[in-house]
Amino acid sequence: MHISLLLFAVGLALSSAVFLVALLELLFTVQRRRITRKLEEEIKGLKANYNTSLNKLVLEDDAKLEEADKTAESVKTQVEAEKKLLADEYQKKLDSITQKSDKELDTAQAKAHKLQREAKMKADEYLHDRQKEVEQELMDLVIAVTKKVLPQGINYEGQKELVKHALQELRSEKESDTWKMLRPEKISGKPLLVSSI
Amino acid sequence: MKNAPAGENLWQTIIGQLHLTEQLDALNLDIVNLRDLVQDGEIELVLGQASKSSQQKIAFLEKIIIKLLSPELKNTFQFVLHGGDIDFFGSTNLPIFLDTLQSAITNIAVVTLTVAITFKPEDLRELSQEATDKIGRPVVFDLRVDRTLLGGAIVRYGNYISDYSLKTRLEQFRTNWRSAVVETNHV
Repeated sequence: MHISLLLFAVGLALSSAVFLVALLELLFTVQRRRITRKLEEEIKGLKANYNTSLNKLVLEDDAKLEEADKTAESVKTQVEAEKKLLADEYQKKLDSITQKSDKELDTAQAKAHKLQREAKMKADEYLHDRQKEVEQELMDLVIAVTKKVLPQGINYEGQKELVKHALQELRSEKESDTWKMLRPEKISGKPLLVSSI
Repeated sequence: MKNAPAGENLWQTIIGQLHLTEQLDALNLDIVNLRDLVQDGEIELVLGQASKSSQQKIAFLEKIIIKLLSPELKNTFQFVLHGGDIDFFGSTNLPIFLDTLQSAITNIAVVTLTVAITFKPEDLRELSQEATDKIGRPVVFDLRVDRTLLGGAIVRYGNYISDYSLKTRLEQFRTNWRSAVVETNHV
C-alpha cells in the first residue's frame, strides 16, 4: 500500500504538478494572450498613433516642404531678381567704365594727335628756321666770296666801262652845283672867294 | 698881245683840261691872287717901266708864273710868255682874260664821283669829257676812291644821285634772294 500510495501520491503529485503546470500555463497563456492582446492593441494604437503622427508629420512635412518650396521659390525669385539687379548694375558699371575708358581713349588719342601735330609743327618750324639760317649763311658766303673775287675779276678797262655806264644816267636838265672850294686857303693874306649856287 | 680870239682859245684850252675839283680850286686861287696883283698894280709897275728890258720883264713874269698853283694856267701862261706876248699880262688884257676865265669857271658843273679804283689822269679826262657831252656843260669831278664799292661808281650831280656800284648791286641781289627764299618757304 505504501507503494500504491506512494504511486498514488506521486501520481497525484505529478498530476497536480501537471495540472498546476497546465493551469499555470493556462494562466500564463491567458495572461500572455491578454498581454499580447494588450500589446497588440497598444501596438495597434501605437501604430495608429504612429501612422497618425506619421501622416501628421508627413502632412506637416509636406506643408513644410511646400512652404519650403514656396520659400525656395520666393528666394529663388528674390535671388533671380537680385541677380538680375546685380547683373544690370554690373552691366551698367561695365558700360560706364567702358564708356569712360572709351572717352579716355578718345581723349588720349586726341592728345596724342595734338602732340603729334605740335611736334610736327615744331619740327617743321625748326627745319624752316634752320633752312633759313643755312640759306642766310649761304647767301652771306656767296656775297663774301663775290666781294673777294669780283674786284680781281674786273680789270681796269672793265672798271672804266662801269663808271662810263654810271655816267650815262646823267641828265642835262638837272640843276647842278657850280664849282665850290673844297679846301679854303689863304694866299697873300686875303680870304678866297667862295661861290656856289 | 693876241687879242680876244686868242684869249678865248686860251681859256677854252684851260677849261678843257680841267676834270677834277682840285684843279678848279688851284685855278681859282691863282685867279684871285693874280687879280690881287693886278689890282695892286704890281705887274703894271714892272711891265710899264720903259727902263726894264724884255728879258727882265719876262723874268719877272716867270717868277709870278712859277708860283701859280694850277698847272694848266701855268702852262698856258708860259706858252704865251715864250711866244713873246708880254702885253697879255698888262693891266688891260690880263683882267679881261681873268674875268672871262672866271665866268667860264662858274659854268662848270661839279659832279661828285665815287669810284672803286684810282684811274689814270687821261682816263679821268675821258670820263669828264663824256660827262660834259651828257650834261652840255663842262664837268669836273669831285673824285673819291672807295674800294669797298668793288666796282662801278656813285654819281652825284646836284640833287640827283645814282648808285651804280657793285657793292649796292650785290646788296640788292642779297635782298632779292632773301625775298625769293621767304616767298618759297611761305608756299
